[in-house]
Amino acid sequence: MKIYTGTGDRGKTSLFSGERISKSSPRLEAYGDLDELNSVIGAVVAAMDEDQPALKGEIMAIQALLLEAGAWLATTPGAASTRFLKPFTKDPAEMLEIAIDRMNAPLPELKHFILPGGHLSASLAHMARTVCRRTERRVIELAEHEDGDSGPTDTLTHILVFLNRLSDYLFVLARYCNHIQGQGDVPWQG
Amino acid sequence: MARVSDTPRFTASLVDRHWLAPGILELRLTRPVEIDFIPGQFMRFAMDGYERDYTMVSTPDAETIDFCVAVVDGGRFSRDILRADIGKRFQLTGPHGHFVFQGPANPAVFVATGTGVAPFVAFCRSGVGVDAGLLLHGVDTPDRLIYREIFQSTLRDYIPCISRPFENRDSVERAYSGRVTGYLKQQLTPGTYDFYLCGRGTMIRDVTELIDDHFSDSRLFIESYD
Repeated sequence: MKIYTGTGDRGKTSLFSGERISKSSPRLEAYGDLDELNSVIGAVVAAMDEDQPALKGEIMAIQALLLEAGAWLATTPGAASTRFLKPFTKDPAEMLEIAIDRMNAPLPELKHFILPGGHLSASLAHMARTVCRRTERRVIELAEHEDGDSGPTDTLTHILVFLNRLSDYLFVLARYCNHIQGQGDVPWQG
Repeated sequence: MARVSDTPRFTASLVDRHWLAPGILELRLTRPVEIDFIPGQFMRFAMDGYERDYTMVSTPDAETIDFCVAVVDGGRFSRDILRADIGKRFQLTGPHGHFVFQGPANPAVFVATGTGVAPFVAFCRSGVGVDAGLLLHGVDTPDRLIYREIFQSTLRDYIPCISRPFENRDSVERAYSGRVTGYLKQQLTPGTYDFYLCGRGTMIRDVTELIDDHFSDSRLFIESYD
């Protein structure tokens, strides 16, 4: 299969539900940022040591969930093509909460602001956190742009909760990465 | 938290193989009872050292699963399928793909080149999208207009688009002399449609540009054979 189709050379692309939209539309901004987030998370995994297979597996499962969320964002709500999408429920956010509590347990209590940094994996996790926050803002913008007074769909609501929780997960992950590297947090000396 | 996507695997045996047109074969395989698919989806043939994707032209409830295959000079699958004895077992995975009928929101315009008509054969045989459907089938010569009878008897409208000059124009009902892009530009009434494109990437790119320029509120669904 060829990678390039040429069908997007003039600034438009097709949604999964068939509509042709501008590449600057809010929907594309949203799933484009989600793609960027997923890529940065991939860099986090790549920067982690080999002796963390369980944590790496967990993060890669999160990446799979982000692909599923991206498919929903690339589909107009109610379109027939949603039949091919896996339901995006509140379960992933709840699983993140469990993971956050697990990683946070061995960490020292946070009593000061910290600088995003430390080990490469921790630094990338902080970067992923900021991209995640931007993605969340873009999805909120999409929800406001597309749903008007009717409010977002249940799926969009679940994706928003997931992204909000994922930012927290990535913050704790950054601290955890420094912790397992024996570096600890990088305190702000302000 | 991990999820694993298991693509179903099947074994199916070759029941029949015949020529639909010069260079185009139809294969008929036994249908494993557990196979379930939506018209327009394809199966992946896992051959010895390579894979090939082919769209079913049969209906999901038929006794066999049928495919049409363009035979390519020097092609590995072409060589292997021509050598295969009746009864040969093939490993398949699937169904794959999302190129299925999306409902009657807008009039459907199906556009295919060559064996790209395969998903539309499955649509017609299953009765999906046919009432308001127009099919443009682009070929270079009339003898490659496969499945004509099915399209003529099922679809609201069927226009063979023949790109090379040919004699006996009366022998091909409603033929348009030229490419599918020419028909779309000159003949299709302005409006909002659901376009379904299946075939070579060049056709898909050219038709997409036309849609953006002339039918910009339409929806577009694509299956590329490249």
